[in-house]
Amino acid sequence: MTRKKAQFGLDTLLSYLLFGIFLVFTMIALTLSGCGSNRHKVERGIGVDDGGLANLMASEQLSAYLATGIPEKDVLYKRVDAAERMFAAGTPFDSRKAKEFLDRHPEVYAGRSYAEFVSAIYDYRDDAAVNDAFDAVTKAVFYRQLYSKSVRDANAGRLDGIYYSPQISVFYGMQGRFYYGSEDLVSSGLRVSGAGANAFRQLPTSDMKGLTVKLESRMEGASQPLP
Amino acid sequence: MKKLIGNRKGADAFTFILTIIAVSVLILILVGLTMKYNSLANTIGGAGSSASLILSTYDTADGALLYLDNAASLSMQGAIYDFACNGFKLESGCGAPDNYVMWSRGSAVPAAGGYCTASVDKKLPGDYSAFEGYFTGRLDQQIAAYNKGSGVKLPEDNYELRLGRPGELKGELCAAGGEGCFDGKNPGELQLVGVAQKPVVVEDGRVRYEVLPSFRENSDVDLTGDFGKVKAKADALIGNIRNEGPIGSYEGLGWNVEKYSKACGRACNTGASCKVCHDECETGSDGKRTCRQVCYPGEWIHYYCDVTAGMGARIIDENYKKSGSEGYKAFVTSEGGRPEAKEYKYRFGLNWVEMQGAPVCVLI
Repeated sequence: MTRKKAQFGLDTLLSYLLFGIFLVFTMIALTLSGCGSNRHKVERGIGVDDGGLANLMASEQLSAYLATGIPEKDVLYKRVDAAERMFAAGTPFDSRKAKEFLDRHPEVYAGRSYAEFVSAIYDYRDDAAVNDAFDAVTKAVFYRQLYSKSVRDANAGRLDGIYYSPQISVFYGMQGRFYYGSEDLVSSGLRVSGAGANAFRQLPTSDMKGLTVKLESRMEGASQPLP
Repeated sequence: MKKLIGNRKGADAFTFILTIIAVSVLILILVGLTMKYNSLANTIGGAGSSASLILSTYDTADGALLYLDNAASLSMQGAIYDFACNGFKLESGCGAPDNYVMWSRGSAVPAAGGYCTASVDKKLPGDYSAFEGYFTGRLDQQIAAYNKGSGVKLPEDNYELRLGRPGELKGELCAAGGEGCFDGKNPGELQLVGVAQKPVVVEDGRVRYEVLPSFRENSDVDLTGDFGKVKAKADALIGNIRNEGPIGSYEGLGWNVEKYSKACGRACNTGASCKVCHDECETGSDGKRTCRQVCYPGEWIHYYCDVTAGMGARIIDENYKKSGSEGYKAFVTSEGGRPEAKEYKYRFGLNWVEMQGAPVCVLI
C-alpha cells in the first residue's frame, strides 16, 4: 500500500503531537513513582531527612555520654594509661600532666558524672593541664574497640588493636553550635569515615555563663533509613 | 457534525480542534497536578518530615531537660554547702570567722539557796526544711542564665521539692517519730526530687510539645543522715570543750574546734540579799582605839565564765585524699571569680557557762 503525499496532512501531524505529549506525561509519571532513580535521588526527591536522623542519633549519644559516671580513681588512672598507649599515634595527651591535675583536684571527678566533670573543670580553665585532663578522662571513660567481635574474629585478630574514642569538644559559653577552631577543649580519637553528624548540648557552670559540648559522630549507615 | 466529518476539510478541522482541546485539557491537568503537589508538599513536607520534626522537637526539649538536670545537680552541691555551713538554718553569709549559727546559748540563772546554776538553751535545728531556700535560689539563677540565651524557656520558681534518702520508704511501719525507713539501697546518699508544676513548651512550626521538667538528683553527701549524727555529737560536746584544735573523727566526720573563747568574771545575781560588814575603828581622845561592826546591804553574786566554741565537722572521703592530708569531700566553684575547692563542712557554734566557785556577797 502506498501513501499519497497529500494524505500526510495536519491530522497525522497532530496525532504524532498528541502521542508525544502522552509520552511526556508517561515519563513524568514514571519519574514521580521513582522508576529509574537511584536511592539517593529518591530520598532527595521525596525529602527523606537522613541527615536529621543522624543528628538525632548523635544527640541521644551525647546525652548518654554526659550521663556516664566517672569511675573511681584506680580504675580511671589505669584506663588513662591504657588510652595513652592506644591513641599515641593519633592525638596523644600527656597522662602525667593529666593525672597531676586530677590529683590536685579530686573534686572534679570523684563521684561525678561526665557532665559534672566537664562543668567542674571549667572552673579550672586557666590551668595549663586542663585540656590534657579533659582529653585523658574522655578517652579513658569512652574508649572501645572500633570493630565488633564478629568482625575482629573474621579478620583473625588483625583489627584487635584499633580503638575508637568519640570526638568531643567544649566551647565556653552557651551557644546553639560552634565550629572548628573556636572550641576551648578538644578530645579527638580515631577518625572514622562516613556521614558526619554533630550534636550540641548546653551545660551549666558555677559562674552562670554555661558551656556547650559538641559530639562529632561519624558512623556510616548507622542512621540511614532501611529500604 | 456529520457534515463536518463527512467533508474532507471538515475532518481536518475536527482533528485540529480535537487536538487543541486535548492538549489544553492535558495542560490544565498538568498545572492542576503541579499545584496540588506543591500544596501537599508545603502541607505535609517530604516523606517522614513530620516524624522528623516531632523527633527534632523532642530532642530540643531533651537538651533543655539535660541542662536542667545538671543545673539541679550543681545547685544541689552549692545548696548542701551553704546549708551545712550555716548550721542547717537559713542564714545569709557563711564562712566568716565569727559567723557561727549558735546551736546553744548558755546562761547563769539564780537558783534557790543563794547561788546560780548554769543553764543551756538548746536551739538545735528541728529539721532540714531550710535546704529548700538555698537550692531554689541557686537553681533559679541557673535557669535564668539558660533562658537568656535559649529559644526554649525553662519555668522559674517551678518546683515542689522532696528531700530524702534514696530508697526511703514512707508508711505506717516507717513513720514512727516522723522518720522514714530504708530499703537498704544506696545508703549514705541524699536524693532531691523536684516535681515540676509548669511544663517546658517547645513550639516548632506545626508541632507544640510540652513536658513537665521534673528531676531527681542524688548526691553522695548524706545530709539527712549526717544531720542526726551532728546533732547528737553537738549535744555531747556542750560543756566539754577545753580548747581549739581537732577532736578526732566520729562516724565519718572529722571534728574540729575552730574557735574557742572563754570570758570569766561575769556575775550572776542570785537575788538573795546579804550583808557586807566590816569593822569601822576610831581612835578616841584618850588614844584608845574602838571598833564597831558596820553592815551594808548586799547581794549574793555567783561568778561564771562564758564559753563559746565554733565547731566544724568535715565529711571524710578517701577519694579526696591528697598526699600529706586527710581527704574531705568537696566541690569546686568559681562564684567569687577564682576557682576554689570548697569542703563540705557542718559548721555551728556552741555556747555555755561554767560557774566559778561559791557565791560571794557584794555591795549593792
